[in-house]
Formats: sequence, C-alpha cells, structure tokens
Amino acid sequence: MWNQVQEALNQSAASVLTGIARLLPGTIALVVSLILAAFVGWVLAFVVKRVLTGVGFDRHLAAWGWSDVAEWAGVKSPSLLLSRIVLWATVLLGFVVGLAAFDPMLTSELALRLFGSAINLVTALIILIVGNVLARFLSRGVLISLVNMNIQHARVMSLGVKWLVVILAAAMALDHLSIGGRIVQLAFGILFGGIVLTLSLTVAMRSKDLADWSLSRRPDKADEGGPPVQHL
Amino acid sequence: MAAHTPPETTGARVDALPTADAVVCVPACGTAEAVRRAADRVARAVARLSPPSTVVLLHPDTAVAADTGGAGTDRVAAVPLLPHRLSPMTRLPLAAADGVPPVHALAAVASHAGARACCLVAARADDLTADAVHALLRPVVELNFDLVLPIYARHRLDGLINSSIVHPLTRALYGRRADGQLGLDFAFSARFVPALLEPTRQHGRPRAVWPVTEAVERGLQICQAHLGTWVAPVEESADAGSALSQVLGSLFLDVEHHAPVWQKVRGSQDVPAFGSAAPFDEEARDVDVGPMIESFQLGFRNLPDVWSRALPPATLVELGRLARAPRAEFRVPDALWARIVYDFALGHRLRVINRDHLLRAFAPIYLAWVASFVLDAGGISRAAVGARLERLCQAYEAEKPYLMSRWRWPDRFNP
Repeated sequence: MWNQVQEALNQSAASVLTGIARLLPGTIALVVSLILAAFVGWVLAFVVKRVLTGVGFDRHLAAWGWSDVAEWAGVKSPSLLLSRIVLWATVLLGFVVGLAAFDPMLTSELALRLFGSAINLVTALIILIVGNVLARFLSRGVLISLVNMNIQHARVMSLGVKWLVVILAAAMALDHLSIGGRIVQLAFGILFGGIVLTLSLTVAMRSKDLADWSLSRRPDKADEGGPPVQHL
Repeated sequence: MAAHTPPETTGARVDALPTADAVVCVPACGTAEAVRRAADRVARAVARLSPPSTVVLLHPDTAVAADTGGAGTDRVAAVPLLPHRLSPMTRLPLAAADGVPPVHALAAVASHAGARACCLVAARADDLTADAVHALLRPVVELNFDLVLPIYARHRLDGLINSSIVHPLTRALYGRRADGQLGLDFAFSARFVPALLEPTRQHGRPRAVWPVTEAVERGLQICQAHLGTWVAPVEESADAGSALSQVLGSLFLDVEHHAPVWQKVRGSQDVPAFGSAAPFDEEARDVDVGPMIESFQLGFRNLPDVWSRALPPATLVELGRLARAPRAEFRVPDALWARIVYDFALGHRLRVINRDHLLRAFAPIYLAWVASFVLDAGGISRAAVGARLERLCQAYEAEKPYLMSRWRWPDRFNP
C-alpha cells in the first residue's frame, strides 16, 4: 500500500511541476514583455511630450476653448495627458503580447471580446469627457450669473449644477457599458434627487435675495425715481 | 470712390432722386408724422449751411407703409424722402441687432447718390433738433472733416462704461481725446463711407463699427460737436453684466482686429470740438455704494478662479486688499484699473475662458470702480469731475506699454 501512496504522490507532484514548467516560460515572457513595453512606452511618451510642447499644443488648445480638457483627468496640461495615454497604451499592448505567450488562442478570444466592447468603451469615454467639459462650463456660467445677481450661496448652487451634469454623464456611461445594472440606476436616482432637493432648499432659503434681485434688477438701483447710476 | 449699389428696395428710387450733397438718416422716425417733423428740422438745419446744400432724408419704410398705404410722399419741406428697410439699432455704435444696420444703408445710399456728407441722427422726432443736425453736418460740409462725434451733456453718473473704459481705452490706444464713441449720432464724409460698407457681421454676430478706430486707421480727420442733452433713443440694458458683455465684447474684438494700428500710436492729441456745451442742471443723486461694494466682495470670494485666468497675482492681491478696505477708504487706483482692463482685453483675445463668461465675470470689478468713482465724485464740481476723469485717461496712457508688452509676447502671459 505504501508503494501505491508513494506512486500517487510522485504522479501528482510530477503533474504539478509539469504544469508549472509549462506556465513558467509564458509568465517570464509576460513579465519581460511588460518591462519592455514600459520602457518603450516611457520613451514614446517623452518624445510625444517634447513634440507637443515644441508646437505649442497646450496654447493652441486653450485658444480653441479646450482649456479644461486636462483638468478633468487631474493632470496639468493636455500634452501631459496625451503622453500618459501613449505610455499606458504601449504598456497595454505589451500586456497583450505577453498574454499571447501563454496561449495564442487566448489573445484571439480576448481580441474578439475587446473589439466587441471597444465601441461601447469609446462611446462611454466620449460621454464622460463631454459631460465633464459641459459640467465645468455650465457651473462656471451659473456661478458668474448668480454672483452678478448678488446671490450669496452662488458657489453651492454652481457646484450642484456641476455634479448634476457629472453624475448624469457617469450614469449614462455606465448604462452604456451595461455595468451595474439596476444598482447604478438606483444610485443615480438617489444622488440626482438629493442634489435637486439640496438646490431647491438653497433657492428657497435665499428666496429673499432672489426677490430683491428681481425687483431691483441690479445692486445700484435706487428705490424711487429711476436708477441713480447709468452704465451706458 | 466707386458707388455702392444699395439694396433693391431703394435702388430704383435712389436713381430717380437728384444728386444730393448730404444724406440724413433718421432710423427712429417710424411714422409719417415723425418723418414730416424730422424733414422740416433737417431742412432748417441744411438751410444754414454754406455753401447751400441739398439733402435727402432716409427713413424707415414703416412710415410709408403704415400711413400712406405704400404710396409714400416724395418730399416734405423740399426735402426728398427715401423710405428704406432699417433694422432696429442697438446700444452699440453703428450696429443693429439683426439685419443690416441703418448706418450701412445710409452709407450705401450716400455712395450711390454721390453725397459729400452723410449723417445718422438716432433721436426720436420729439428730441430731434435742427441745431443738432446742423452741428453734425457743418464740420463735414464746411470744414472738411471726415468724422463728427457727438458730445452730450450728461450727469456725471451716467455713461460710466464710457467714462471708465471706452473713452480712456480708445484715447490711449488710438491717441484721440474724443469720448463720443458710444454715442448714436454721427456725421461722416464721403471718404469715411467705405469703412461703413464693410461686412456687417463678424463670426456670425452683428459687427459694430467703432468710428474713431476706423478714422485713425484711414488717416481721416476727426472732430466733435456739442449736441445738447442726451436722450436715450434705444432701450438700454438694465444690469452691468449684460451691458459690459455687449459693449466690451465688441470693443475688445475691435482692439484685437486693429492691433497693428494702435501699437504704432504714441501719446494722444486733442480733437477739435464745435458748438457750445449746453447748460446742464445736474441734480443731486443719492447713491448707495454699499450694494456695489458687496457685489465686488461677493465676486472676490466666489470668482478668484475665473479672475486668475486673466489677472496676474499682483493684481489679485490688490483686489484682495480693496475687498477688505473700509468703505471710507474704498478707492480703485487709476493705474490698477487700467491694468485690469488691459488684462481682460488680453484674456479676451487669448480666449482664456469662454469670452462671455470672462466679460460677465468682469462686472463685480467694474462695480467696484463705480463705487469708488461715486465716492470720489459725489460732492465735487463738474470741473473737478472732468479733472478726475482726465487723470484716469492719463493712467491708461501711462500703462499702455504694459498692454503692448503682454500683447506681443502672450507666451509670457501666465497669470
């Protein structure tokens, strides 16, 4: 019996070691591919950033009114954002190449699935970017208008508008990707409703300011006899 | 000068008219009765000119259609009448809200008729006087000037956008001490007409013609004429934000468009003025500057991110100091104000943010200047107010090198 136990142990150990030996080259290939991709990506990102800085890409983008594009991603400038996209795209490519070392079929299936969802992914990204830019634009417009109307809680209301649009865009993007399902819809409804309620309460609390503004129309108008100051 | 063919609605009638020495346009006279009264006063004004001149009166075609069933009356007081479709005027100089502005139709008719002078009188019939028309036409017809700007008798607290920004900025940039750019009554010579025939829309928006800029660019002669008390013929925007957005948006575009012109100008020169200033009984006005100061302080608390896109840190520090100043010491230094206006002009050119947002965000700072001016000019004589505004204009001229250096090297514009 002990011979049979020993034989079973030998067989299982051999099978595990054989499995590891089969996976090891692929794993090493994956790691090497990632390291190489990271290096190549770093070089490409450096070149891209130098080229974009040289042609004044940030300045031209700001002149076209896209000065907020980089802010949403938390980076200082659009050229830095692009260089980081190049870096991570190269690393991703290296990861895919490394995966192919395990099993060529794996990457084919992965590629098929990725292509299938690539369009949805791109659309979701566009929704997020547009939503973010629109949110900043609208919130700034609301802030300036409310300040000119002498509304004291202008900043709160402009933040509310901004988050309304951002949450709406995020919910649309997640829904487009079929992520989260009903949980996302429920969370969106709660957040959206909460923000609208907050804004309504803020407006109600500052209703006196709004009434004063609608009656006076500007802070320099006298109560009787027409405006004491004429701008034009 | 090549004749410009006016629109088809008036072409046939212009051909039928005799040549005229002058064309007068009265866009606010929209009824037949108003046109009759205007024609009578224009006839009396023109009769005083030397040499004797013939005149055509251009008026809205609503005066014909409404009262005469479309037939129209060709002459009143020996003045030929020319009905034309005239778009409503806006508060911007020589611009219309939509369609073709009256000044464009005036220039087209004047060009077609070979007139030496043309005149735009925006006043309504009740406010239109023969003296005003004569004051506008005489410098062009008798003294060979090319552009006549209006001088109105106004309260010191009226027309503050002109006093604080338009006049001193124009004076510093184009070197002409004339403050009638925001008026609505002008006279032009035939040499000026081509400037009025240029496209009336820019980037899809109505394009205003800033007459001093056009005259300086073409090397034409400018003068001013006293026209009496100002009576607003068009509805004016009630709040500062809308007024600033409307006026400064157009003015800054004009500054950007004519940068090659004003960068060559140094100093400023007087512009001759004709006629005598009308006696003006300036009533005392009780202005509470508290809301204006509060508006500025609210803007300082909420808009530093927006202001920092156009203003350098040193200016923001100054504004912070001003926001904390007690009311008795609330004064905006002239040099600081001039630099702020220049920075916003540059920010507008570079599109640091949406242009409409930028100009509306300027409103609280403008109200700070208004409050400061009210505190300064409240209890002093009109002559002293004039001296106060003269110091402001000199500050703009002194700070012009600041604008020029930032304009030429925008890469260094990094607030």
